[in-house]
Amino acid sequence: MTSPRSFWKEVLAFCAVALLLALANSFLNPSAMALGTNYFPGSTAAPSQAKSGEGGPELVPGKPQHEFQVADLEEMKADMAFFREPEGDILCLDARSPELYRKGHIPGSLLLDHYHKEKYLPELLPRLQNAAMIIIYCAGGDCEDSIFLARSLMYEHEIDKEVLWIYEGGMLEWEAEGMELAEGNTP
Amino acid sequence: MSRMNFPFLPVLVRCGVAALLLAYGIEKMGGLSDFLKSIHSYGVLPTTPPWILNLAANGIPILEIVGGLFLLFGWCRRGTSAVVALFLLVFSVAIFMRTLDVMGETGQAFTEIAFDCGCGNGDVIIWQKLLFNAALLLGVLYVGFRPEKQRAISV
Repeated sequence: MTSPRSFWKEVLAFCAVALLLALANSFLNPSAMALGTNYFPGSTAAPSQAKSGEGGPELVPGKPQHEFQVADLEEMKADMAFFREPEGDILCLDARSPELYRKGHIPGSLLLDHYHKEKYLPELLPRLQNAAMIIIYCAGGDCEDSIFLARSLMYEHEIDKEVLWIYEGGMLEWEAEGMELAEGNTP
Repeated sequence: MSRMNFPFLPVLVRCGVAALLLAYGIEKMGGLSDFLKSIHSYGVLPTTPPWILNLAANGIPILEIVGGLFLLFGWCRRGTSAVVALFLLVFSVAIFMRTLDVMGETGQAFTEIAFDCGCGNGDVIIWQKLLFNAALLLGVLYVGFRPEKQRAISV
């Protein structure tokens, strides 16, 4: 029978190995989450636990709340031609993962995976800082990645809030409406 | 009274539990950002300072993989089993609490609730997941704490 003392030694040994490997994963794995990055700026509670304060906006269940201007499907249709311009100042950003982007994205949209921004920002930041309008989307529905990306661009990279728009319908609405899709890595 | 031996039962349970933990851990490692979103949605861990949530996202899959390997090879059996069981219990309680939230929001019955619990399989039916977690918890405790000398079952 194991003594209580050796039991706690086992607990400690297992925790130490797991913690060391977790730290190694954090620092050495390029797809791991960066420890110091707040991926949920402006979020103080889980989406399902968010409550509206008195006098605050009325919360719609399943629909994330945010402070940005909203682009609807008609706006997206109207701006689509501008997204494709290589040096244009109206940009569309896809905040989803590269895998989802490759499977299908809004034509002309640029990949900026919110959880691995550091891979894309060095190239994109000069264009973002000079943009007149940046429309960001993610999966749609209750997906909040577009909102977190917009906040991160605003707080960390000093992009003007007035140029940041959220396409709330996201890919869910875009595909449901039978809109054109682009596949692969190119916008 | 006759005695019937099941010499392979402990090995089977040990391999099964270890395989499940390894599979869960490896699957989560393939989508750490999705797992981060899932644990954020529970609202159990604070978003500031951010390293707590991020370390949990990077560390829980590792804990599952290391737990699976330790249980498979019998290293620190009791200690590993206790930590993994505690983690499973906390995670299952968090899933249950979120289920109550979803029930309150949508008015759905408990048996109808399905969401992505961050368990690595996308949307799952929650009562089934909780039942499965309970079975896995018992399996983990069996592997770690089964009596050393009592390996035969009387029939």
